[in-house]
Amino acid sequence: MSWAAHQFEIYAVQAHLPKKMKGKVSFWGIWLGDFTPDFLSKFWVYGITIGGHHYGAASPQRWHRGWPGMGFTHTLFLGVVIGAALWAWKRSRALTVGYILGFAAHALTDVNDSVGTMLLFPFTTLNWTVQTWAYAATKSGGKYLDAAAYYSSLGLVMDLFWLVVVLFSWRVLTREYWRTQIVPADPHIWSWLAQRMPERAMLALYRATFFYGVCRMLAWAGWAHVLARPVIDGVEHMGYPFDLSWTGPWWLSARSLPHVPPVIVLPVTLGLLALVYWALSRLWEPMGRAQRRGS
Amino acid sequence: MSPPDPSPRERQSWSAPTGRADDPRWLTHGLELGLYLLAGLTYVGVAMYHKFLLNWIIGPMWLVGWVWLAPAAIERLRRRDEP
Repeated sequence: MSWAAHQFEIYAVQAHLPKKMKGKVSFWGIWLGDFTPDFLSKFWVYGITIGGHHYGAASPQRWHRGWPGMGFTHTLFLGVVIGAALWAWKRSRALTVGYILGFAAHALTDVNDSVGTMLLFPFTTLNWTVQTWAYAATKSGGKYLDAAAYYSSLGLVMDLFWLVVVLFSWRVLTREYWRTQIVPADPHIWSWLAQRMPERAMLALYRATFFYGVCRMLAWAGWAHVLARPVIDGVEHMGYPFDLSWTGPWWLSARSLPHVPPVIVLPVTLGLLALVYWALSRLWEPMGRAQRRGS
Repeated sequence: MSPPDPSPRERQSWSAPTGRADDPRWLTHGLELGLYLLAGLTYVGVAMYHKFLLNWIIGPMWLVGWVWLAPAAIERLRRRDEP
């Protein structure tokens, strides 16, 4: 799974909208779409322990990404279904398009870990994975081992990559951008918030997911490499060892599910990303006309 | 309060007040940036030891709390101390 990358990619999607969509796609739609897959599935991956008894998924990777399980929450199929339901309910192009883009970003970036996602569900339940780093959510290790593995592997590079993408698009975080691109696309939400908080708080709220991503990355990586004293193969280490090799880190067994050959995954994923943008771009004007007729 | 003004604004220096109607007059752009940095430092510092704080509700609220409430609290104290 990806960690802070999911927070950064929201701003990356926002900053790289097609020209005709700039200032017209809901930021909160992108945010909600990007967070939905893990909203729906993550709670049971690590589970909870009450009175010494652990309640959670017997096989975290199957629950999170597989079938049977909640793996369908990380598929383009569900993103389109929920997007269509949102359109039928709200008739809002800004929200629908934002939601599908955010959802697609999450489902597509998660092909990088060793479990991947069921990209072509429901046509096939095979997972699509590039196996860049190890999927490390386990019953015994919980969130801590998962974080340690992620921030010791190419997962850290993934977070940094998305951070750099956002920093290269730094204007997306400015007050100017918020005023001219974000507020007009979500006028009702921001007007509602403006009745309750000053502008500096609204701007902080807009930037808050980025802030959380940066802090989350620093705190977990800091803990894993400065504070933690793991014992691996009987040897105590000063912090979890880094391993930037493919499907690392070496000190943990990467989880996986039945999957397609990794070599075809990257081109198919990029093709699907292009397909999502192309389809939404083609639907943009018809949706706008339908929205105007509806109102 | 009216909805946010979507019109572009001119670049201002770090020592200039934010100029927003809701902000205290002493709050400059530099001080506001300092609040963001302070929020980040405190959050990372505390959350490294108390990892239950690292979630998508507390994280964003931590920032909003610092940026919104710290100036409001200081302003309230300043007004209380005024003769």
